Amino acid sequence: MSIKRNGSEFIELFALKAGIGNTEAKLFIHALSETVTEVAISEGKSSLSGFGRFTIKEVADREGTQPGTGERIIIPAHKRIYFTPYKRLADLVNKKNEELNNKPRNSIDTATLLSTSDNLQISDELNNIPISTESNTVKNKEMEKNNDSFSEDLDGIKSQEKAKTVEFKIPKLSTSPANDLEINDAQLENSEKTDLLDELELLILQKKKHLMSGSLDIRVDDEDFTEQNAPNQEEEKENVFPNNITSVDRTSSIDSKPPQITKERTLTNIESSINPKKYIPVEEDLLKDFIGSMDELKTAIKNISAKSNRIKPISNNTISIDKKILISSSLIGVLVIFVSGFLIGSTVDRLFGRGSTDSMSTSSQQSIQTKLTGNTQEQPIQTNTIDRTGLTPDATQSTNRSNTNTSKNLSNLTTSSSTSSRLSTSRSVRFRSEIGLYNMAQEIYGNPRLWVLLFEENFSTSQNPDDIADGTTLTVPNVATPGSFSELERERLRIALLHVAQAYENAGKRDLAQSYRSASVYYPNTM
Amino acid sequence: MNKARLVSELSTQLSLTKYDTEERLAHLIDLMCEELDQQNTIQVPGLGQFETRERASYVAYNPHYKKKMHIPPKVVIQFTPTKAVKDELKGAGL
Repeated sequence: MSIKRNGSEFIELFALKAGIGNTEAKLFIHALSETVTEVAISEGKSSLSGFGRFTIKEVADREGTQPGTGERIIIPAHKRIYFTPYKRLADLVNKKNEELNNKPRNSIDTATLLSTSDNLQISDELNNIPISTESNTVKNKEMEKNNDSFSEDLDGIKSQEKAKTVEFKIPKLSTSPANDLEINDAQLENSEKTDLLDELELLILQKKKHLMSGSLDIRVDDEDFTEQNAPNQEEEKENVFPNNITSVDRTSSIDSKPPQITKERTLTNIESSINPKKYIPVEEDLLKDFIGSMDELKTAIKNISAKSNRIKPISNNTISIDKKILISSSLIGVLVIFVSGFLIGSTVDRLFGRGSTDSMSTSSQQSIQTKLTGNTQEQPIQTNTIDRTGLTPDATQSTNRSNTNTSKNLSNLTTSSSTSSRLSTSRSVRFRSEIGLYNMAQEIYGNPRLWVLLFEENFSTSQNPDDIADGTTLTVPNVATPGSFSELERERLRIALLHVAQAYENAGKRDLAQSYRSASVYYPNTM
Repeated sequence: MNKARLVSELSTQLSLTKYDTEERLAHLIDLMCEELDQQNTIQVPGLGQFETRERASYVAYNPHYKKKMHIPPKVVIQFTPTKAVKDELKGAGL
């Protein structure tokens, strides 16, 4: 559209226009620009008659940024030359623009229309392409025929495809967990419902049409009623009927009231209207029609209600069956879980021989504590162990309880066991990454900050504490209840905190390592 | 500076008659207007570049009447002076 005229091109054009040589044109333009700029600079403004005005304005110094470096610099005060076109030129340019603005609106409309039509054509083509490929395989001769026949064939194919898709949908439904009979019933229900609804709609539409024609007549008559009194009275009487009927019909159709009542109402209305105005028996046909239609409606509604009644119990049955299945399945599942958990727990314990070790460990723990405290406070410690075992998962609960019972018996016998099994564990727990060690320690010990003990027991310092693999079995060290730590326990906690600090150091988290290192100084003393 | 003064100065510079210079000036301005009318960009040697730009419509605020005004879209002529002119301006500023 827009062409860029550089200096030489502009000179050539000017030379052609003025009918002079290029050199002369160049000289003239240079002289003109020189004089214009000189005058502008000296006087502040200069005008080119018929073209525009050059004005010089002083710009104050301002703060800006260096484009390359982004450095803040102060742009010094300077002068700028501005060009303001005269009204003639501005109007000329804008008139063109207005014309262009006006033109595009129409052109755009047509263009959009064209584009849409193109798109439609394209879409049609796109639709045709895959089908045509199919039809190539099906019918080669049809391709050579007219477009109309071809499109018909295509439509036929499309419908076939649709039918196929529908056929495909049904087996999908049958694959669903519900029974096949129910689905068949549902389909039947749907089909019946749709059919009935269609019938009802048709009936209503027919009645409406019938009544609408009457009402239209009324309106015309009403307009002429003021002029012609005598003959229109009859017509008016006629007209009152359809109005009543429409109202009744509407109410019946909307509220689905028993039609007998409506009939009575209409009759009473008619009677009340007949008595003062003395109706002619022509309306009886209309009434009969209406009653017939109401009967039809009644039968239709009855059908629907019957179907719905037939449908409802089935649906209730299905729900109850589902509930039963759900309840039974859930019960079975719970039972299976219990049994499996018990079996797994027992088998695991048998495999690892932990039935005996656990009892030993608990007894040894008690022995340590008794040794450290120097008092024979066996009973409270036993209760503590029982409480702690109470926090274990379901599978190991029963076994542990049995173990604790056995340990109670054995504790008296094995009080003098070796102190080297100080860190021997009572149980193992699967690490759950969704909770994390912190919350697991909360579950196990009732104090989340004791997770460091869990970590120290199970992992080396090369393990990142924040990135432990899910499902790894953790051995849980026995710890006294928080607040009643012995000196040995505190030392363990101190070591564990330093261990975690080292692990964080190795993982590259120096801030956390520093905090845990500092915690190792003061935190165990609070326990 | 009016047209008569410009023509007289040009005629003395180029040693041309006033009639010829006026005619040439008229031709030049006609040409420039035509070119700008056709949305063309013209570079006038020694003066600068003239180009047309479409300015989109915007909402302005009249502070006196405290009303928002819709300014319709417009074509504006953008003038960019040549380096020589800018240098002259700088020299004049100093």
